[in-house]
Amino acid sequence: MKQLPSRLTIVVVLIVSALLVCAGRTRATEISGTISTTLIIFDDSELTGDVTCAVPLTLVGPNPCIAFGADHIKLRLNGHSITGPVTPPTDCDVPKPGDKFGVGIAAIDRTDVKIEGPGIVQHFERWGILIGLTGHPSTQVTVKKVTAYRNCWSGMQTFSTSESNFEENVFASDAGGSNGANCGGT
Amino acid sequence: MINSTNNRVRLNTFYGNGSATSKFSPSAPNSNNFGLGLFAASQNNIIERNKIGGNINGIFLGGVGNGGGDVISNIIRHNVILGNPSAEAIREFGVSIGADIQDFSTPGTNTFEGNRCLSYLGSGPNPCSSTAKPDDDEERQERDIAVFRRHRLAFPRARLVEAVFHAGPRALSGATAAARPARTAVADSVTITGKVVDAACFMLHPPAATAASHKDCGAACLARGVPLAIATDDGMLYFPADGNQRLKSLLNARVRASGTVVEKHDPMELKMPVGDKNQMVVRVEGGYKQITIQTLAKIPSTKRPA
Repeated sequence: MKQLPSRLTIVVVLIVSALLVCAGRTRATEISGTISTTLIIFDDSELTGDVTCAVPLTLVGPNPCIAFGADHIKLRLNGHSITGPVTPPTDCDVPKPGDKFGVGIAAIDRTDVKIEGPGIVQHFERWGILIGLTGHPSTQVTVKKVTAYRNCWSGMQTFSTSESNFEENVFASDAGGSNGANCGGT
Repeated sequence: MINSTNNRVRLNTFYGNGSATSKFSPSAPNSNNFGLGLFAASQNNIIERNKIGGNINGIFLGGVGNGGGDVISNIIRHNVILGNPSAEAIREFGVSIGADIQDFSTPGTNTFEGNRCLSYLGSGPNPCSSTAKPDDDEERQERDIAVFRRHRLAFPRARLVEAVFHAGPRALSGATAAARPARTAVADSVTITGKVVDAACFMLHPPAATAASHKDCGAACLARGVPLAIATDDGMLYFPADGNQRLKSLLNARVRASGTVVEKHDPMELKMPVGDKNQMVVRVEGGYKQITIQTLAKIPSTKRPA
């Protein structure tokens, strides 16, 4: 009986420690408000409010609003929206060499990342979601329950992407300003 | 999807995507926009159980001169691909502007299975020529409807016109039957044998209503006032004129009842609460039998021959 308090204490300490460790590992980066430079996420992240993107187009190629910077992480939209600056077909990108264009979410050169809805990605100059890029493949990507709406080019574009799952998403009214490019929902 | 392989695209919705004026070249008859597109070396992808409608093209498979070749070994199955392009787009730009499936891939290099589609532009065998159905909940619903229709043959002039979930007020205190004063035929005196069933469930899906596993569910429905009836061996339903009072202790039991029967010609609605917020309405349009029970007895269940 004398050992009971000490055993109990040990058990409690272990449980609390485990909870603290788990909490530390599962805590997500919270995102909301206006994003004015590309937000690169390196751990699990989630939207806690709607996001407005005002990322200047400084780089040749995609200028994403949010980009995955690590493998094995996920972005949860939590029912919120990520909104770009254009309303198709106005101000949509015209394909040309050295082009700079806006993208909602990019997962380029990534493995085992996940974009999880519900949530909306809308009003971007090219793609709402970009997975992979020529020479920069992505694999084991999951996009689930996300709505891509009224993006100039495709709602989601994949280049050199493999072993991935795209489930229960909605692609609506995209490619309203595709300007000759092969575009659509996905 | 460009140069993308071994992916699974399933259960997505592609509605209203694409521009009719977007083309590979100004002289091309068709748009290069779509709901879902596969281009260049996109291979071994599974595209299944998606809903694709109102796009300029539904599914677009690229080929040489049309977004690149080597779109091969993809499986496209059990999708609903309809209404591509929209009637307005066809009116403005002509029928060749798009199709449910626009296929520039080498014939026979991709697999189409069980898609529901109507228009195909391509050089391969037309995968939209069959009446294949997607194997999803919709198919199950159709099977249920088919079962109902077979059963309906036993109901002269009876027709299920509504069996849906309605958002509505909280659960009703009980079910209602016989909404209006009825026009009746001449009463006949009969003796019937059959099983006491949850009438609404029986009309929708007889095997489920008579299964032993439905007993608890049926009892729950009964507690909420769902109408009971006697389902005879020939599939006829007899609704007691005095409601559930005499049948409620005999749910799922086999009974013999005698009394006078009249055939009702006015519509009857069977309403029952489903959960806290929904209500199911089964409406039978004219043509069901109502029995005024004079004698009622439980009898042993009959065993079907093996």
